[in-house]
Amino acid sequence: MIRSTIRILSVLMILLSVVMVGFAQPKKFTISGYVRDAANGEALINATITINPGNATVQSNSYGFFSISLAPGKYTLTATYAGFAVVTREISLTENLALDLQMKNAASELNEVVVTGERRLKRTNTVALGIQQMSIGQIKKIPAFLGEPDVLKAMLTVPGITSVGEGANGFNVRGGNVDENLIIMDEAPVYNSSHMLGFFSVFNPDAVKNVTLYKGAFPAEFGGRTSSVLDIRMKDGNNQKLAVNGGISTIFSRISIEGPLQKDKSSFIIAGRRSYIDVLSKPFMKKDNRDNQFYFYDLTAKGNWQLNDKNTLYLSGYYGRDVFSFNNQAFMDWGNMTTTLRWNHLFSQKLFLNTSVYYSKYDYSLKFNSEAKDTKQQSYNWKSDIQTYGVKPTLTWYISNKHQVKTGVGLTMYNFYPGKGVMVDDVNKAEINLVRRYGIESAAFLEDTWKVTKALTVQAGVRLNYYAYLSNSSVYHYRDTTANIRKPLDYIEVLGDGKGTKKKVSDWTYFEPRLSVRYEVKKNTFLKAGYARSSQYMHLLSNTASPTPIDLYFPSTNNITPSVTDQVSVGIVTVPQFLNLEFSAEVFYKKMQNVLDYIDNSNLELNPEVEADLLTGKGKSYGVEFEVRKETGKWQGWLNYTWSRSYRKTEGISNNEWFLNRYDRTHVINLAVTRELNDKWSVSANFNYGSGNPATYPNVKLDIQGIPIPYNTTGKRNDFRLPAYHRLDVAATMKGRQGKKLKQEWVFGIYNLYARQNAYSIYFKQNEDDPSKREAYRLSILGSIIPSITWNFKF
Amino acid sequence: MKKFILYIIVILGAGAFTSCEKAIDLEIPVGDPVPYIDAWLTDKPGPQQIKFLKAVGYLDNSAPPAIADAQIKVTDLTINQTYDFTYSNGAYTHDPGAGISIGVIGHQYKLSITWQGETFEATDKLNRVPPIDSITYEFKQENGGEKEGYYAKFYAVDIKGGKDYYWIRTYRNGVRNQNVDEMWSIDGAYYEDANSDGFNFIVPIREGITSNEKPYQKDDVVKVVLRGMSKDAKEFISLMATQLSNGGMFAKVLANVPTNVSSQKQGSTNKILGWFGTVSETELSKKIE
Repeated sequence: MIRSTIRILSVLMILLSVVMVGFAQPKKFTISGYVRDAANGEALINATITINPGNATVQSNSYGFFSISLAPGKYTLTATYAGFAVVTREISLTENLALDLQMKNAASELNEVVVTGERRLKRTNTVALGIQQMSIGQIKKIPAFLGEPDVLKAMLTVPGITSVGEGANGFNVRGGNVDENLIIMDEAPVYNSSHMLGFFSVFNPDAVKNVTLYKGAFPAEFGGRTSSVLDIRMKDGNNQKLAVNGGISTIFSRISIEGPLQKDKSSFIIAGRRSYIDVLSKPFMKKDNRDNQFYFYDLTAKGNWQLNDKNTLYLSGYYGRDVFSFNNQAFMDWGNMTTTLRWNHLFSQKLFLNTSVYYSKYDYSLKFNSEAKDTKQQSYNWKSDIQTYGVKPTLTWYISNKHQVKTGVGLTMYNFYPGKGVMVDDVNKAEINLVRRYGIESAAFLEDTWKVTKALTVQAGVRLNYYAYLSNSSVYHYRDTTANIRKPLDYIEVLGDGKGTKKKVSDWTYFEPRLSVRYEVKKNTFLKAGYARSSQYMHLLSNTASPTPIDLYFPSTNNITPSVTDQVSVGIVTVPQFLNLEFSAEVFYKKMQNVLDYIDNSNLELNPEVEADLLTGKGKSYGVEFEVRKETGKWQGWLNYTWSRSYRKTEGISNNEWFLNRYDRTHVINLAVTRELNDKWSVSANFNYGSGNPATYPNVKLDIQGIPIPYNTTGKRNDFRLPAYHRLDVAATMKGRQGKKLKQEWVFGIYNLYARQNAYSIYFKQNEDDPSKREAYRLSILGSIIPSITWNFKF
Repeated sequence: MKKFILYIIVILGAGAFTSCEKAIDLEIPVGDPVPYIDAWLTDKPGPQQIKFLKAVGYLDNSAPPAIADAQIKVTDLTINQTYDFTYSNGAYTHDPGAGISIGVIGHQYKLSITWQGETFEATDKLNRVPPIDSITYEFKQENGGEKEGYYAKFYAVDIKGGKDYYWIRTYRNGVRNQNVDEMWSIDGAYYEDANSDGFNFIVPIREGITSNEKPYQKDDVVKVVLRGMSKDAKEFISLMATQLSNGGMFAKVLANVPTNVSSQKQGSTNKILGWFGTVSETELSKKIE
């Protein structure tokens, strides 16, 4: 394992030296530095720095750093960033230059200057396709469920991102499954991104700075998931002055405190939220029920220390929990915890190193007791977790204005604990203790962003992934059988007692090319193309419509081959000179191998032989996405339409034919608009339409022992569709008195304005009055309009 | 277990956001009238019945038509004795005489159906079952997801030694209580590997004979039938139970129940659906007073 990591590394080193020799440069000077928000010192990610004459451009990285090298001379430097006033500097370059660019929020400037002075090209300043970025400002403008701005819900308004319905856990990207999204918060993976099933995401909007979703050709630095990467960066904390942000809404309250530890040098932020439906509903509940609990909370904290000009440290952490209990009989809680330590080091003005070390854990527990007065006492306890440790040094080398190289390695250790269940009876005790399974993933990557000509840019990368499934206890071997029948156990290989050294059971190596090309056909019109291969070594075992918090992540093992996806996409983006709009279209095709499926009667719960119930199949998805965006002016927003299909084919399922995935939505339309009415009021609306999800219905019944058993004689899966989904939300924001210290605003929202009862699922049961009759029932998670009021404050 | 927990969550969580359920008209093209059997032999004395039927549309509430022109027999493979079942009034029946059982615990049975020139067979073993020790009940006021009424529980203990598979059925006033699930159990609990040998039937099963939506009322008679079955039959019953209670936020994809009836003719693709099962049975009734 270590040997192959070394092998991968040496290949990269050779590649890198080839690059170095090839790019030897004539004498130039380097301008480097950081782009920050003047008001609070927050690093601005992906700000564009343009230098004229020559029109050289560079973007700040995730830490606000940029570097650009030029021949000596006089230049004009311009920095632009969404929502901020343009910064311009005249530079006389006679030596290397370190700059700190402080940008001011446009709100405090004259709006008009920003509006007319700048044409921001979001899709045009990235080389790769399928990158969707949202600032927290944009997220907060979208009308939100119960008035709570939500990072993930906002993402559902961009093309290619869907979910299976209200309250569903997770999201689907371009026809991929929920578990194929790598969600990272300050580089640490987050396994369950939802609070309260899927109603809220775990990310506190007050602590989030920037959200980037890669749904197409991912950069080479990301791997381990096949559908998308959702990169969430937390705020660094205000390094200028102490600030408090908070909000009180219908469902929960949040507060964040941030401030300098040492002005300009170091800062911190601590943010927390707690829901209080349980507290509010307590007085309305029966005495017996007052002990019921249902709440969640989360805490986010981060600190950063600029040790000197060359070194900065960041430490961030997250802890969140959902808690439910009922009648003192059933208890359940789950949550994520992450910690990331990052070290930015500048070797030189051109060589930027970030090293991240992270830990992530998701766990849950269930507990049941018999009623206190029950004569025969019993209890049941179940615990499960998944832990990840990782280290990822990444070096960015600003070789020249033509080449920017990013390279690095990553090592991730996975520890899967499917769980332990203990049942205690008045006389007996029974226990299922599933063995821990381990995985190790090592990766090395190299990526060059190469400005070939003024019009053509190529981002070419490779990623080498090595994954091994490790065990120090039992390894299960199965025999082959007819597809869709539980595989018979062949033998159990015992590698240890679960405590000793872990041994390799099986391993895989994948070579993943990543390529993006951008060509400027004419001014402000770009053609783009991309290809990416990605592999995945863990799978969420879930055969329900929406994943539940107690579904397990399971590694690729000797019985489950990792899944591999190839995606090609092409697109065009244009910003016409005469219009302040961005038009884009992207077409994608994805081919997926070894997609996980389940036998018909799969048992995924505390089953040591769960692998016998798993199948792998093929998948494919394709589609086209159109979007119009307007990101400046009084009216802002976007309208998009996506046509796509998502299929899979698994031996033994649906007559061995291709069938639609449960999360396929053929047509999707999203419209999000905001309008500044005056200094006090702004309004926003959000409309969403999606074809109904595919469903499988019975077409006959077998009457056995008085039980009407549903049966489908065609054997086809997902041959029907639920009715289409659509919903309109509106919100109005009123700025309250903007005192010298206290600034406040009120957000009034209505979710599901026309009270559409969208079908989450359709199922069958007996008629209430005549149990012999079967009827179809439609479940709507939201049955009416949901109004909300939120009060936000800042001081 | 999972269902129980998720039920709680849906009530507390989604319920708070006005989730709603509505009966709707749904057009589903009716499938082929496939042949199937309803053949569960018990160890009870007296006549035993097997039904051979044609499936009707899922939302069609008419009785399924019987197939009358088949020869059906059951062989006790352990003592090599064959019982002929004769058709009358929509079902095939064999009557060994009062007080005599054709089903004996520990014996192996084979079903043979000869129909349209083809013979179909299925086998099963008749496994043991413990008695139901007691049924208790208590009155509860409306509380969260629980409606006002009488809540019954039953107590039984798994038979020690060996792995036992059970099917638990609930009746209200002599009719199957359709408001509660068909339940199954492995050694009193849910898990093949829990080693819960000799356990009291666990709480979710114990309390699973009452529906929160429609608890019992005064003068209702609650009857619990416990059936001992084979591991294969448990697979059938568990898949069936999943399909029946399938719905809501965590609905699973519809999966067809398997059949253990297979044609003896080489290369035949003709199918008879359903399941031939042999079960032992105990029961207990309690009147709510």
